[in-house]
Amino acid sequence: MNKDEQQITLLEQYYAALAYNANASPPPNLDPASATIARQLRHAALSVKPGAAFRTQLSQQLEYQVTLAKATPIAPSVGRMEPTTMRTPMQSDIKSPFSRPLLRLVSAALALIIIAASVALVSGLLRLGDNQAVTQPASQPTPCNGPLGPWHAIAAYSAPLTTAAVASDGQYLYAVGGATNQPDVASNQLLRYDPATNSWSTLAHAADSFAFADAIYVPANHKLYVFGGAVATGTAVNLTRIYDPASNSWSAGAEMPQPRAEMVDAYWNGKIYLVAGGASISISNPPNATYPPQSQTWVYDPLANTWDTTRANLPDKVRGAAGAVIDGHLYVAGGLGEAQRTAATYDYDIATNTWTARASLPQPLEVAGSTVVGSRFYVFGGANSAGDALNTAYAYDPNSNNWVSQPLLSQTRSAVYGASIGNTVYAVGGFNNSGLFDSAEAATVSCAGK
Amino acid sequence: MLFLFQLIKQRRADASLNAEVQPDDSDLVREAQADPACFNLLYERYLGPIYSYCYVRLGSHEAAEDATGEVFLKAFANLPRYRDQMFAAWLFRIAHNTVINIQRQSRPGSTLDIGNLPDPGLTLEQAVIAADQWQALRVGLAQLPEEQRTVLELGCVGLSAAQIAEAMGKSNAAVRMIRHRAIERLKQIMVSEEVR
Repeated sequence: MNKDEQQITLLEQYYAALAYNANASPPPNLDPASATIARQLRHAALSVKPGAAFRTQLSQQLEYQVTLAKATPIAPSVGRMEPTTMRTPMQSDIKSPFSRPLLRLVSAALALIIIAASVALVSGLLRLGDNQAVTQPASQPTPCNGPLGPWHAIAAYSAPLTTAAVASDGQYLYAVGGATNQPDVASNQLLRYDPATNSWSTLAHAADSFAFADAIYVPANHKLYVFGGAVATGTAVNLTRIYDPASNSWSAGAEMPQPRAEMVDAYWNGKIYLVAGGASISISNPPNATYPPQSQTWVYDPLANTWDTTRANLPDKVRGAAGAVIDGHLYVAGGLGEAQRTAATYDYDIATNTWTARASLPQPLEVAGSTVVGSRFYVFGGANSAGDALNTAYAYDPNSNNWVSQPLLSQTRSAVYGASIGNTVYAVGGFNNSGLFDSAEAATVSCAGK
Repeated sequence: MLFLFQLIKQRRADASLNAEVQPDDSDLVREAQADPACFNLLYERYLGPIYSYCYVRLGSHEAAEDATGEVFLKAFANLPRYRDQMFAAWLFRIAHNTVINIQRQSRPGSTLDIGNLPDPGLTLEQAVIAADQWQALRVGLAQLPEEQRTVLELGCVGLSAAQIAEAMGKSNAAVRMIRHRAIERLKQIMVSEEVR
């Protein structure tokens, strides 16, 4: 092997290593200058990441395409792919009339409105004066509704923490506040998990410390909203905290109508829904805490910064229930009622402002984690009737009104919070008899089964 | 208490050994062809590399966003006709064609802005150094013959030699040789830039 051939082989080895580990050491005999260039190129490429706003917009565009594809099984007319050469551009590819993603999204929304209006006209359902314009698909695209895959550990965060409010912007997980393993000490930390690097980072601290709050991401303005929670004394607060990822800074929104912790939160069609919860709580010993659960349904408009307290109340008073919104229906499952933990599941039809009882959870539970992937409502962990931490997981299918058991969490987690990124479900923090966790785990929803 | 947390950490470390095996591209493509909604998994897997490639090639986040959006919409539309290739190679071929089109459509002589490195994990000093390196690499890449530049750019976003070979319609050996020559040429260019 001559010198060039040797260097080619070593360079290829190094490229293969860099693909999996950007900090891999070069082979000893590889020319250092070549290694430096290869490493710098790899680092430069990895340092470039799409922004959260762009990811959200593109995801929505693709979801819209999925909706169209499902309505018309044959793909849109597009040119053939050039099989071998890279130099010949594709002919007659799909062209959006707009050049920027946001404008494309607007075009997609307008097209959807036109389609929906046409359907309504044909079916005689369009009424003059009805301003319930369809601003998003009547049926959200359902990426994958198969069973949950096995749970696996992801990177731990910096210190034991439970009941940190968790939300996702589609790219990162955010975990804010929480109870620490020191008696009656709450946190004001904001942590961010990047699944691409499997790592947590610390962002700007919130102005106050709290646990059992509710966090939700608003795609309309790309901000994170953190509502209520309980301070170290166990008293709930009525604060609305707003985190702006673009400036890594916090601000205050209009205060909640009353103090609340452990609510159900959901975002739908530009509004945030906050249901039930409690007015006080004990941070250091949540399972034995007693305080009056509530049943309110509040609606917060993040763009107008206003509250609507006129919505119909949940039929039960609970705190620590699981909840999520699917296709305009907010589902609330379980929770600690006035006397005991419940398995009841309720469906709030946002459009009609009505609550309906649905199939109960397989067992009573509270402080479970929950999230949505596709059109399934996943509930995991929590505490059972006796207050013992659970590792069970369930998926609710609104179409069949049925709960199905899913793979067990790798450990029991009471007071766990949940969120999802793409088709992956995350269970963050919690505690069991061993103490508080600094860990989180994830499971991916399969596309194989339906 | 400390002992208990150590136990938990050990258990977590053990669990990570059994981490879920990621499905192959070919499995995900089959699922997406059966159910378009499953294209989301391929999108999640390749959004970062495609965006990175478009950015490396076009030099601005705005242009990279436009190109990336176009790439995934094209890929989604063409997926029913995708047959037995390396998906990554197929997708990056679309990306390459897309960025070439965008470059052709831009006015002759017009220059795209050089974007800043957006990695928030870098300190200011690290960011300055990285930006300098990035600028030097961009200048060097722009002076390479098209074929050499493409091999390096596809390689830096994580494509294997085999994937690059299929994307470019060349043999593995040819890609290895092109890459070697590209690195040698880039070294010369960067040395001469430093001398200046």
